[in-house]
Amino acid sequence: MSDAAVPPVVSLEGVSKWYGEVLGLSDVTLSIGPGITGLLGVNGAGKSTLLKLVTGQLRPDRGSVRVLGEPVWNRPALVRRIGLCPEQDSFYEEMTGAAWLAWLARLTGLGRAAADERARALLGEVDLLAEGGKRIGRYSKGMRQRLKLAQALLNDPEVLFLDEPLTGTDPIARARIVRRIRELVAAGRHVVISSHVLHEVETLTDTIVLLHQGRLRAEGRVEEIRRTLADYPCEVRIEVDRPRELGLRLLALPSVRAVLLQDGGDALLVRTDAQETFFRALAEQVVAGRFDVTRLAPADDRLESVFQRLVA
Amino acid sequence: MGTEAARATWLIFARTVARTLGRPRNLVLAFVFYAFPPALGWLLVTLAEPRAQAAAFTTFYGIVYPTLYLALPALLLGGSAIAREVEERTITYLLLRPVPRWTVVAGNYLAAVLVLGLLTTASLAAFYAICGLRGGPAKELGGTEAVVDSFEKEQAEYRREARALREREEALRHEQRARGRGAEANRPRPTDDVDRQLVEVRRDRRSLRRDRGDVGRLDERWRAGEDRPDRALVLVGILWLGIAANTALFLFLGTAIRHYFMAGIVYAVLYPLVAMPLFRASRIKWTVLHFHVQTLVHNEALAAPGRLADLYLGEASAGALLVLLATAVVFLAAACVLFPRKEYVLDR
Repeated sequence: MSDAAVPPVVSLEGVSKWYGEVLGLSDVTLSIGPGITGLLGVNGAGKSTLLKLVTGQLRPDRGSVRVLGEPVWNRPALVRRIGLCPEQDSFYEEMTGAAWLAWLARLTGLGRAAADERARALLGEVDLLAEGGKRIGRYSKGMRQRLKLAQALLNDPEVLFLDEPLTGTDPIARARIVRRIRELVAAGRHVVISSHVLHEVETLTDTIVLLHQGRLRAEGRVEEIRRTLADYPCEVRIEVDRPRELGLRLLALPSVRAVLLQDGGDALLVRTDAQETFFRALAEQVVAGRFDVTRLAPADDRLESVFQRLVA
Repeated sequence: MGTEAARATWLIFARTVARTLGRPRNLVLAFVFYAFPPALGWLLVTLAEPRAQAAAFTTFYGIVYPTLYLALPALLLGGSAIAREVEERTITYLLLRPVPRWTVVAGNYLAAVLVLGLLTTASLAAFYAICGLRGGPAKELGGTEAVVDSFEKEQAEYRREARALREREEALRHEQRARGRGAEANRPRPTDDVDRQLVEVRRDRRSLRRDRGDVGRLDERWRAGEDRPDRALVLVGILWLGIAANTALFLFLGTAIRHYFMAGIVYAVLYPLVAMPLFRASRIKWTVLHFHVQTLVHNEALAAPGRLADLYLGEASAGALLVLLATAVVFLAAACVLFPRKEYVLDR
């Protein structure tokens, strides 16, 4: 999926991981390029397993995992170049947000004063400066998510892995986190964001890795993935000079499931079970009826439909 | 790298100490738990007869204390040092810092030893102060004197029995020689039971030496141990090293296996009960196991407050300290080597 000239940020070669007898990942080979990549899949698809592997928390049972060209397991030097915002909501609850961040900053090698300064700066970046003196145990869900994001940024990492960073956040917190992610990418950082909520990822990127039941189902841009799929159900919006007449003709086609009039009868929404077959037949009908088609576009070229298709 | 590792160890150590002692629930539990020995000591000194005191002290400090106050807290704090970070999932943040992973083990270990050492020392110091063993209100603990009396009686009894057996053996040998001469004159010699009796007496003497041989040498060690100025220091040294060794052992268990707690309980509770009757001190005196049993699990130096401690410290301190130190170092090193090689984030 990444450009051949650009080395992948993350690469997995034949990676499998078991939890006892439960399969976490099965023979996954993929590479993730620069920018933002969405890691998609339903709960239990293997997203968190993949993130734990690429952050060196787990060791693959088979295959190899590389981040920024280096193996990642048990490599403290590489850990300095990556950051993880984990899914789990666990902290030293009795500490204040500022003290916790400063302590972690000192573990990254900063002196006391520099660590305090870094903690304050990061709290400011995630809009938590005012709450920095509060005990973490009293933080709201959104504040905790932002604090996790702040700790992920402690090392000023080149690659940032975010595991369900928007889960449980209110719209304001969500907007703040999304804005911060965009800023990081604009500053040249690479971000891999996992989620099972598709529209969250859709707002950030159209480059995805899709996992299902521990296996890689697709990787690349959403539209490219969609093109690689042959016949599958979809909706097509057609703006044409005689929509009712074309609609009647299309209803007679076996590949068409439904035809709806839209915009007061000025456009058609066609639901089909077989995209390629439908488009061939549509072309024939347009030529035969001398229709003047002004616009033809998929009505549901969204991640959701691709996702549904791939995991079905 | 060395400085970074030491710094990381220090930071994790300090954080863990603060976390452990900073939780009010932990402090309340620790106070109740560690206030019990001095309270018991005060009750015994105030209320009990000397012989009852002796029995109570011997039981409590010989059997209950080493298990309940050395092994169990070490299991709870040392064994769970890594497991707690894993269960609370805070381990992730530590694994994602650019420091050697063994520093997580070392920092947690040192914190556990410090907390346990301070609490146990405070508890014992309070006990000694209350019971007057080290300058408290009472000049001497009657119970200790009673224990010493019983040891002296046991020693005298041992000597009596040993002398009786020796005399019996000599008499039988004399009789055997006399019969041998008679047998030469009147062949064939009839079989009598002198030989059998001699075998039995020799077996009894061996049993006596094996089972109670230590008692026979008490007075020499006693004399050697009298007026030792560093007795309290050695006791505290053994105490801290005992805690260090126990904690390292359980930390290793907690690092190596998921069901460390059950294994630790079996070790802490059942081992002394099984091992002590099986391995009497005199039989394994010169083995490491002896020192292990004596100091690591069944710390008789601690079990014998006051002058009684000298009986053991005189001879056992150097070996015991060495074994405890080696145990602590070996198990801590094993945990430090194992931890970076294992995965601790095993839920999907």
